[in-house]
Amino acid sequence: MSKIENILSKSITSELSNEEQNILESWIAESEHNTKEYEAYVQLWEKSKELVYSDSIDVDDSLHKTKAKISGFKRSWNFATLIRQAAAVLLLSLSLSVLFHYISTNEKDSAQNEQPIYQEITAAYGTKTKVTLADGTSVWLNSGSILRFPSTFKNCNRREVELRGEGFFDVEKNQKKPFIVNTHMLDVKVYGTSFNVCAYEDYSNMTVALVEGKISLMKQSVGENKELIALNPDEVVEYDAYNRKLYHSSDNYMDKYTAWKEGQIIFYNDPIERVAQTLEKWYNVEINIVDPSLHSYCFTAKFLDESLEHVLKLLCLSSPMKYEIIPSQKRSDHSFSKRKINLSIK
Amino acid sequence: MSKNISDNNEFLLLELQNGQERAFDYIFRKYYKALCAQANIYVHDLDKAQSLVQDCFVKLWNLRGSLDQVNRLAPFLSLMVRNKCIDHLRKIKTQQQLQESENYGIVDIHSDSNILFHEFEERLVVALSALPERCRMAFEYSRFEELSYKEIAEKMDVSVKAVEKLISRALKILRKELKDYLFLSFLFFDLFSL
Repeated sequence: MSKIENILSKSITSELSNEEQNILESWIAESEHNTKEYEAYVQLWEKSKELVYSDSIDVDDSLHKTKAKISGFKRSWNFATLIRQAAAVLLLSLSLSVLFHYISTNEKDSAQNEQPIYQEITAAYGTKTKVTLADGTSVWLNSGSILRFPSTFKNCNRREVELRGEGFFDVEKNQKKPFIVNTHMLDVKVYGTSFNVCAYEDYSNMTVALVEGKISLMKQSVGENKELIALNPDEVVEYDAYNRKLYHSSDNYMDKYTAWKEGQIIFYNDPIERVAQTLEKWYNVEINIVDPSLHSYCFTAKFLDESLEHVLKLLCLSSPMKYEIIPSQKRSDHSFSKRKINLSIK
Repeated sequence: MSKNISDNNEFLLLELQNGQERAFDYIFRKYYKALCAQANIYVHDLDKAQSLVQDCFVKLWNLRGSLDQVNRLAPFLSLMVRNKCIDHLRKIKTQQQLQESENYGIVDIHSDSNILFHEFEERLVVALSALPERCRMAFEYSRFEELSYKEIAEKMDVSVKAVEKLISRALKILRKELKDYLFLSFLFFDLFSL
């Protein structure tokens, strides 16, 4: 009986061999009951045709939608849905990264023989600029700073950029390709971290402040890289180019080095020279400290989007200092000089 | 109708009555596709069919406290879906009548005269959902996706012989479940052909 059932079902769903065909035919001919049985099978098959089971139905998604229509279900205690949502997010990000990898490896193939193209970005005076590099690293440029970087890091074994001025770097991790910031003084070598570099060419010093991760300062002498010092988070190194000295210190007020990228100027017990330097770059002015006795003053202050006049007023309120603004002068070549600020004792 | 292969999921019903979400999920996963297929016969629009079936599940959840009278879940769900579909078609009919009353005769074909005709598919939906999982899979591949035994064997990772057995078993059970209906309709066809 079992055998004939197999043949019966096979006859309507699939093709029979000659031998099976013979068995079936003789079985059908055996009795009226058998004939009816066969016809019932054929009918069952024919009539079920209209029922369409679609592969396009997503049962889990539909279940989710249905539950959304039921007010009694709180989604927070629906752990299974949470898991599914998490899985969906994971899957999406996974496929995105696979896609990204695919695209970037394709890029690599096509860019194999190309020299990287260098780009330069300048933050004009009084402005801040943010740029994202090809590896995902973000760089904020402070007023009057220039960053030179390649359009791709694909063919290099290190990610090198050149900074003139001040920048805050949030470097994507890549152990295989160190990220190196070249300045006119020292180089900063990192693997993945965030830190601030202040190296204006007209400054006699360079300051590097590390927010997180690990970085080291390098000195490039002919053909070799010499590691000078490694920094831990919340540490600051100041390099004095005149005396060729490094000042390594710990500073809990890290935001005074990085606040500029949020549009803030922060001073924590900073000497007047640093205040002047910062304001010079920020407002594109020239500041003269007229009275030498002012050098002994330190300032602590925080400014957000203030005008130069307002900042100066506030600084003078808190100290026996006064300021004088000398408007910009028209030079003989019809350009204008910077505004000058003279700071003196009241 | 043989009781042993039907879904007398008393436990499941009890859990649902107690407001167990897991039971709801299980029932949804088990019957959703089949019920969509059923609804699709009426509305010929899979998206609409899904939306109607989802409404039925919402109703099932809201009714869960008063499910004592229900002893078999699949026929109950199938009936709910059928009623929902007919409601839907009536609504469409009324709308169309309002819009274009001259098409009355054509629109009428949709409604009551066709309801009896779908009983077979509804029985099939119920019977299919009660099949052992792998039997049902094999049958669905063969019938609805029109795959060959060889393709099904590959998909299910079993031998062709095993597929033969699964489908044969599925057909035997369905044949038994739909016995009354098959003979009835057989007579119908005879009457028509006379």
